[in-house]
Amino acid sequence: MAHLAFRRHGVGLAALALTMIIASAVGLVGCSDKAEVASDPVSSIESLLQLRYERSTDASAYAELIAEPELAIQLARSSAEESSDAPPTPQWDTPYLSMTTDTTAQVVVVWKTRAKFEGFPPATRFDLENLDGVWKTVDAQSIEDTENIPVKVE
Amino acid sequence: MAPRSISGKRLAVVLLAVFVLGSALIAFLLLRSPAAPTPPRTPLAVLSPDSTATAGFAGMIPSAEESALPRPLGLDGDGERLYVALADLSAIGVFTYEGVSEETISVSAAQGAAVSTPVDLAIFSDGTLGVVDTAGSRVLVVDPGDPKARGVEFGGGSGKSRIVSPTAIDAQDGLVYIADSSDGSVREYEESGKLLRTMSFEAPNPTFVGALCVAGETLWVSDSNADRVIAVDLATGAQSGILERRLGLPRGVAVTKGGRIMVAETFGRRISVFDPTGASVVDVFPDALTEGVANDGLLEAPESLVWDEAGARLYVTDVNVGRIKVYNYRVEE
Repeated sequence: MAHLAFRRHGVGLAALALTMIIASAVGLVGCSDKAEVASDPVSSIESLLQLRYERSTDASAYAELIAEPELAIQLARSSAEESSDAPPTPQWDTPYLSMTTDTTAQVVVVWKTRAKFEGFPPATRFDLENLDGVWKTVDAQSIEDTENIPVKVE
Repeated sequence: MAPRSISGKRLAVVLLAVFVLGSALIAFLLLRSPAAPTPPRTPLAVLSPDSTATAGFAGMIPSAEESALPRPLGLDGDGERLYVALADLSAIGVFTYEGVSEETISVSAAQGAAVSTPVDLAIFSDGTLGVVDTAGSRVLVVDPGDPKARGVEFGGGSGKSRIVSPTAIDAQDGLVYIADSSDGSVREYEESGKLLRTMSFEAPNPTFVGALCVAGETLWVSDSNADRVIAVDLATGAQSGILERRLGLPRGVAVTKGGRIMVAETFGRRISVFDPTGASVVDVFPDALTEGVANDGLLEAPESLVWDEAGARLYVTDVNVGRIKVYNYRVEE
């Protein structure tokens, strides 16, 4: 029995060693490649908000996140025309998904500290579509004070 | 005699030894074995001898069998090598004009920035590269001959010479031209970084210069958000004209030896070729008449251009597909 136990140890050792070696190999190989940039609806909106907040005047940067090229140019032009004394939008809470399918999604952005931004709605719902593997905004709707803000879906 | 049992301490030592030896073996095998064989790349095509097409799709760099480039933007060439700004890799890719990858040069991040984002580049007279790094809001000089060295910041002065939000760069004959979106200016510097002058435009100034191209006595300025390309006379430093056509987010500009002006339209997904006066468009490609266009020859988001006069080829970075697309162009001037 003790002999059997030893052999079991031997099998266990080999399995463990093999697992470690495979794990090491995966780790080494993993380090050699740069991870691909993830594309998901929420990060697409976060990037769009950040571009706008920084007043990017690069229309092609907006166009990577917005389906309609004309809107991308309008945002770039708006950023160029605005005064740089104050930010163009309020700060925002972390965006979240309120609806998702394989090809469409809705992301809600709740704006913070709106006091200095007259007319800004409490929240905005962005409609996105997955276009050739990239999530792009196709529409946006203000959610007014009288409306319920859509809840987060898991 | 009953076999001896293994103590926990001995087991741990054995496990550690196996792990160390296994890791060493893997490291040895990975370092020893040659790099994975690169699939044979498809050679660039030439225009058919009996073809009457003006333009033909020659192929892509990397070829369809190879991995895409991570967001290729700015492009420049010295007649032997092509240098491409890889924005999502924080690096410069180096290729031969036939598409063979030679090396990848890392672009170090600016102090306080997590990464660098190279978006445009230009070759200086000594072979170094001026690289626009938008993540660091700077222009960096990188030496391809010493790729491991950290770059040197260009024009890091104060006042009017200070570069705040560079978007595009080009160089010729020891002079460097840089567009800065913070004030809509285009400035001329010595390669030492000394500011010489600021170009003047008929109002309004460009809000975002997508590319600069200096050719002879003219500096071409892509005023992207205004859908136009402006000519600046380098003798006077003042605007001297505009290409007579509204363009779909113009970016890269290249000029042939005979003076034809090629413009990449990012939203137009095409290259428009103007006559040397800029008054009329003489060619547009790729389209259905472009030879070989069915082989991935259409453009999705053309960005930067390099014209190779000797090979009569136009190199175009196509950002969305991660390739440099190459077109044969029959110049009849």
